[in-house]
This record gives sequence, C-alpha cells and structure tokens, in this order.
Amino acid sequence: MPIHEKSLIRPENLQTNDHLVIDGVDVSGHWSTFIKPRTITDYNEAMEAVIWALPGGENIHRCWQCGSCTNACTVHAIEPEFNPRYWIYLIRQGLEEELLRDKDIIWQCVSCNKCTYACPRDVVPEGVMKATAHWLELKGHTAKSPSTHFDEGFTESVLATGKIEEGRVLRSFFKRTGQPLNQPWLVALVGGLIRRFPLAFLIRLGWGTVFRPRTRGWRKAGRAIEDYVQERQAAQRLALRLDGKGATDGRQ
Amino acid sequence: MTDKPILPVLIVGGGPAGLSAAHAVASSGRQAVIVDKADRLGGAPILQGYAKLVPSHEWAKVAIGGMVARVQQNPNVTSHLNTQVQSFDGAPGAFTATLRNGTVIEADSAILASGFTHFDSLNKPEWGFGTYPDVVTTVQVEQMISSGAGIRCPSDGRVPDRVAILLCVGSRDRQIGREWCSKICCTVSANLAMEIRELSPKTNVYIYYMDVRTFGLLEGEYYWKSQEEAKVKYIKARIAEVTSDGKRLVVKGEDTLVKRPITIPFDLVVHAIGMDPNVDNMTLASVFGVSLNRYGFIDKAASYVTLGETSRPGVYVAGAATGPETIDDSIAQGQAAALAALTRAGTRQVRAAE
Amino acid sequence: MDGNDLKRVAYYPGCALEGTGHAYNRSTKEVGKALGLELVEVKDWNCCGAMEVKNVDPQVQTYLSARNLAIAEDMGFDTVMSPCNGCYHNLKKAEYDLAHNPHAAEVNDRISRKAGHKTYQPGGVETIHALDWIRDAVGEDELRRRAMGKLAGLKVANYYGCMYTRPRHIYPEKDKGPGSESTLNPHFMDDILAAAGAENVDFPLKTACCGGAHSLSDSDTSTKLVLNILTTAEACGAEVIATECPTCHTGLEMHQVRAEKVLGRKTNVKILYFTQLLGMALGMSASKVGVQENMSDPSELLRAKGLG
Repeated sequence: MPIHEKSLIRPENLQTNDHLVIDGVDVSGHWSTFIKPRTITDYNEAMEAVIWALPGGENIHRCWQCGSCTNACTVHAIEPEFNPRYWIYLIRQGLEEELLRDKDIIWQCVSCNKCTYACPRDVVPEGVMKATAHWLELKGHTAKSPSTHFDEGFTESVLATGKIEEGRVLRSFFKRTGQPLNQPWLVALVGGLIRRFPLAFLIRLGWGTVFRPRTRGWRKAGRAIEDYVQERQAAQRLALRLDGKGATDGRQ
Repeated sequence: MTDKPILPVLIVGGGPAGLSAAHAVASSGRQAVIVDKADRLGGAPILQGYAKLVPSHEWAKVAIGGMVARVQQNPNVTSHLNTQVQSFDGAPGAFTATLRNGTVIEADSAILASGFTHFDSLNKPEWGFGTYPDVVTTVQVEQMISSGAGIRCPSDGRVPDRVAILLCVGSRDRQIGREWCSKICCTVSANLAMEIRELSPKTNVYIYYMDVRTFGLLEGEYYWKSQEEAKVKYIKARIAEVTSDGKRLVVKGEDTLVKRPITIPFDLVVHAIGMDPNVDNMTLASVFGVSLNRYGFIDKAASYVTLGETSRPGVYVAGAATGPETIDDSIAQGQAAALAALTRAGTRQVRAAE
Repeated sequence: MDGNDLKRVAYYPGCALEGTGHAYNRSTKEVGKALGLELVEVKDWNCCGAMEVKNVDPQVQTYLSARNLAIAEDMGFDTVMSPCNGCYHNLKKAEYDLAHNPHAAEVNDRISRKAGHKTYQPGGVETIHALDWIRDAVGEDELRRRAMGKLAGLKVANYYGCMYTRPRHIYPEKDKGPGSESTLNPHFMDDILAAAGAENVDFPLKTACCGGAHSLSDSDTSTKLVLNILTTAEACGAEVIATECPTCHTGLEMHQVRAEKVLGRKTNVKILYFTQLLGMALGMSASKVGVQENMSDPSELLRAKGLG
C-alpha cells in the first residue's frame, strides 16, 4: 500500500457564497466553489522540544522521513490514517493543529516494534508514539486513553507488590475506564472454561484474588521507584510548562 | 640536448590543487613556477575567507595557510602574483609562456590548477539576493564565522532566530544552464548549520533540499551529526521565492512531504552557492589550446591510464578546474598531475640516456 | 550460550505464567523434568514491567529487569531462562540498555542502592528463551529420538509474535547465520516441533503482531489482528497454532472467542503452547501439560492424532 496522505482538499476548506460579486461578475452559489489554502505559515520549534522531554520521544529529531516506520506499521495496515512518519514530521515542524486532527488514534500503537526494527536512524518511532499520546493527555487534548489507564493500573500494582495479578489488573482496568465486566464475549470466554472444568478454574480464579501475589522484600524497591517516578513526572510537567510558544499557545 | 637541464613545471593557480602540485614537483628536486592572478597564494579558501574546512574542521587560514608557507619556503618554487599567462607556445619539453607583465617562462610542461568561480546569486533573482540585505551566500556566512563577527543579519546586526539554507543555488538548474551538482554545497551547508547552532544556540536552522548529497563518510560526520547533535532540520522543498513582509524575509515553496504550500518567516536566508567554471576558462582554453567540456570546465581525459591529462600533450589539469571538487580531492589531483608531469619529463630523460 | 551449563539454569517465569499462562509454566517444567533439565526459580523475583511500565517510565522498566538479573547472578547462575516473550524481551532490553545507555545505568544504580541490593552490571547473566534452552540443552537429535515421531501428521503453524525478535539490536546473538535464530524468519520452535514429528506449515505471519499490548484497551484492533493470524493459519492448512508466549497465547484465544461473538467470524484452529505439544510428544497426558486450561478446546483433535 502506498504511504497514505490526507486528501488535499478538505470539506471544511470548501466555501461557497450566497451573494458575492467580483469585478462585476456574480459568483454566488455552488457553481463557483472557493478552496481555502492550506498554506503552512509558521513553524513552532518548541513542540519537538516538548516531545524530547517525554519518555520515548528522545530520538525524534533523528527522523529523515524515509517512511520505513509507516510502511512496517501493524496499525497502519488496518487503519490507513495511522501514520507515524507523518506525525513525526508534524511534531518536528510544530504543526500542532494538524496533529490534533489525529489525536484520537495516536494512542493505538500496539508496540509491536516493527517500526523500531525497520528504522535506519534509531528514532524508536514506537517510543515517539507513546510520548505523543502522553503529551496529548498531559495537555488535555484527549482524555486518558484506555491504554494509559491500563498502564497506570498495571504500574501501580507493580510498585505496590512487585508483581501483578491479571484478574486484579483486568478488574482495575474495567473500573478505571467505566466498562462493565459482564461483556458478552468475556462472559462467553469464562463460561466456556467453567463448563469444561468448573472446579479447577474457579479455584485458580479465587486463589489469585484472595492471595495477592507479591515479591518478598519489595517494599524498599517499590518506594525507591516511586520517588524516581515522581521526580521524573515533575520534570516533565516543568518541561511542558516552560516552553514559551510551545503546546500552550503555539496553535496556528 | 641531454646536458640541458629539464625546464620547470608551470603551474597556473595557487589554490589547494596548485599548491599541492608545486610542493610535489619541488619535493622531487625539480623547479615549479606558480602564476596566480590574485595578490596572494591560497586560492578560494584564503581569498574568500573560508571558516572551518570539511572534513578536518581545521580553520582554512591555518590549513591552507600552512600549504602556502610550505611552498613559499621551498627554494624550488617561484611565484608570479597579480598576473596571468598571456600566451603559451611550443611543445612538451619546451614550452614558452609569456605573462601579462612581460615575464617569459620556459617550461617543460604546465599544470592548470585554475579552480572555479562561485556562482553569482544575482542570477537567481527570485531568491532575493541583491534585493534583501538579509539574503546572503554560504561564502558570506563563512566570512561571518572566520572574521569572528558571528552570525548576524546584515540589515540591522541582530542575531537571527531562524535561518534558512537553500541548497542547489546555481546547481542542478537547467533554467540557468547549470546542470551539474556542485558536490560540496550539501556538506558545506550542514557544516555551517552546525557552526551556526554552536555560535548561537537559540538560532534554529532549516535546510531546504531536493536531495542531500553528503557523500561517503561525510554522511555521518555532517548529515547525521547536524541532525542528531545540532538538531538542524531538513525540509524537502525547492523554494519558489524569497520575499519580505517588511519585517522578516518570507520563504515560499511547497513542503513536498506533506503536499502543502509553505510561507515561512525567516531572519536570514543563505544561498548554498555552487561552483561555476572559472570565469577565465574561455581565455585559458584559447591560450593553452585545451578543450573545455560541455559545461565549460577544462576537459580531462579518462583516468584509467593517464593522470590529469588535457587535450594537449604536456598540459595537465587538477582540482576544481575540471569540475566541482572538494579541497581534499583537489590536493590529491594536484599531486597526481605533478606526478604525470614529472614522469613525462622522466621518460624523455631515460630515452635520452640510451 | 557457549560454555554455559544449560542443564541447570535460573528460571524466571514472570507474572503471566502464574496466571493466564499457568499451563505454559506447568508444561515447561514438566518438559524440563522429562528431558533431565533442572530449573531453579529466581528467588523473590518481581514483574518485568511487561509492555506497560515503560510507558510510565522506561528507566524504571530497565530497573525491574536488572533486579531480577542481579538476583539470578547472586544465586550463582550464568544463565536465566524465561519462557515468556515479554519477560525475555525485557531482560534482554535491560541488558542492552544498561550497556549502551548511561542514563539507564545511572537510574538503575540509584534505585538499586536505595532498594538495598547490588547494582546489576551488564554481562553478568545471559538471558535465554525457553526455545533456546530446549534446543541447545537437548538438541534436535535427542528430541527426535525421544519423541519418536509422536506429532506426525499434526499440521502446525508456529507463531512467535513481536517480542521474541524485535527490535533486533537487543538480540545480538540472532541473525548470525546457520545455527542461529533469525529475526525475520524465526525457526527454533519449528525445528523443535519438527524434531518431534510435527508437520510445520509455511506460515507467513510468524512474527505478526496480535495486538497483545492492547488486548483489553483496544479490543477491536486486537480482534482484527488476531483474526488475521487465525484465518491465515487456517488458510495455510494448520490445525494448531503453536505459541511460545503467554500474552500471544491468551490474546489468540481471547480474540478467537471475541471474533466469533462480536464479528461473527468463527475459526477452528487450536492454540497450544509448544511445550504442551512437546510434552505430549514425550508421552505426557493432556492434563499433565494443562490442556484443560486452554480456551480453544483441542481434545477432539488430540484424540484424532492419538495425543495426550
């Protein structure tokens, strides 16, 4: 599939006028449609700097737009609008408004690392996708994505006990995202197992819930990590605030 | 005839190629005579005030200055400055050159190391040179750096927030009869972009390119490093025009990667000017009886069995006289041409002894 | 792996093998026992961070693995084996980052000191996958001799997923020519199952992504990706997809059900851990290798092939 681009003329750029006369010629109505230009009128250097400050975005400036990432991308194959190369370019040029058009799909990167495998410049596009999704949330452009909810619930569990218990992470995820647990396919899934081997399955399910797995001697490590994470997050918030014409007022 | 000493090698041009050829000739014990129309030796790097050279990062006045000093201190080299060869007659082994100042030089052979002329940006008026003071050439930026003046907008002396470097100014452009790639401008631009970022970290540098030809090992040292360390941005667009909104310059073109027109304000626009044939090439060709290639550079024979031969036996050529060339390769070609001239004479000597 | 004693290695199962991947844990241990290999579990191991913690902070993820490696080293091992691609990937990545990224090394040192244990230095322990372990500690000839062609007639698509081969820079031992694993066309699982008699089908999606990272958070994407893998395996003639990662395995199973319930697309290919297949090839019963825990019930197929 060729590298996908946005179509050149967007519906919102088409204009017709009910009453317009130019040089004595009536050009009203649909027969003379005007197209608003899509000229890029400025760059915003601060935007790339913000992405650098976020985990995963450190190497974005290496990109030379070869398109290997998009070409390799798992998600691009099923969602043509998902285009890492294009987004990296928009960030590097500071074309925030353009990036925001895709804000609701950027978080969908599945971390398959095909891009990172293919990239000749070690940009780590997978990391850039995560950093960008993170930035969208920090700036309030999007709500926390389901993926972020999952990551946070997971990390909290690891920090608290050193391990995760999948049932707990799953329940915490559904709770955080406000989804009911009794989704038909999940019910069918669990139901199938219970039908086949009711006792063994229920015992294992119950065991993990009651006896939460934990790493012995974890407390100090958990605390040390927490301190570090807090320090990093403070630094990131600072980086996001500090930029003069960056994400806050860099809209075009 | 056999007792008669072998005549000197005449070298036209005292730039990197000529200096290298003179040094090689003199080191072998033979006489070299340099003729240069400028008032100093050193060629473009010295006369035009280049800053740090590619790929050594050494200052031009130190690196090329050293080559000049080496030749000046060698008793086997004679220099004639502020003059040019007016006529050149005879045959290999016995040429006679007459200079404009009347000097007559008997020469065994000649090496044309006459170099190039920088493209004059006035020939591309759409890119604003000569109209707006803040549109400059790579040579001017070299001078800003080498003079210690720093990167400033000529109009009011301010430090630019944003600099655009336009590649291929006077290269790869059939509109103005220049189809060749000038070979060095991509690397020089990447080098200058890094210098600008170092001298003025708050200045953002954008390079507008069609292709980037930082060939060979220069790829890592200049193209990659300029992006990875100096954070220079490369944008694939051939600029259509440079205008001004009254305050800043406005660069217009199409960003081909996003298929969108761009109209971006800049403080300083730099033309990465190419290498033209030396303006004197028509005269040189007629005086020395050598042919020029279709682009106007001095025609060079294939290198497989000969070194730096022109269409006239006994007249050799080296460096940017033959087409766009790097300083390193010009130096190598100067030595090659010297070797060709020396062995030609040597062959005669061996035959004479038989 | 040269020179390391693979008959007795440190074992890092990871969280998934204590949960959804329980059957993988069980079958791995049983296969090891049957082949005379000893696994010693890393003491007080912690979660590797999977694909989640790095999104909060990549250096923390590096530390999580470094702690496990430090313990394995302290226990006197030079090799740690992990059957889970996520754990394996993260241990490998930590090894790489600690050697190549000074910031990661510095953060690891800081947290390790605060946590009160020694800082792991790269090169201390070598991380291998369960595939490396069985292939290198036992060898194909011995497997062939022991399995006596028990998997004959079973058509298998070998599915390796993402983390086993990508990104390639964290796997310096791969792509080293004959005998080494390939990152583009991995074959260790193929080799092992072929030695046990299985008929491997030509499967182009060996390293395709199942969307495991978003199995729950973006179920529609995962279902599409998994359905593609399942239907391709069937089109290639496979009766079984062999897996070597609990996340892939669970993802394939879960979204096989979801594809049927949500998209109305039913597939019949069965999903089994390679250790389950290998265990049965070595004469174990289906229940011994935990087949009852598999969501795609393979009992009929196993009966037909005289397995379990």
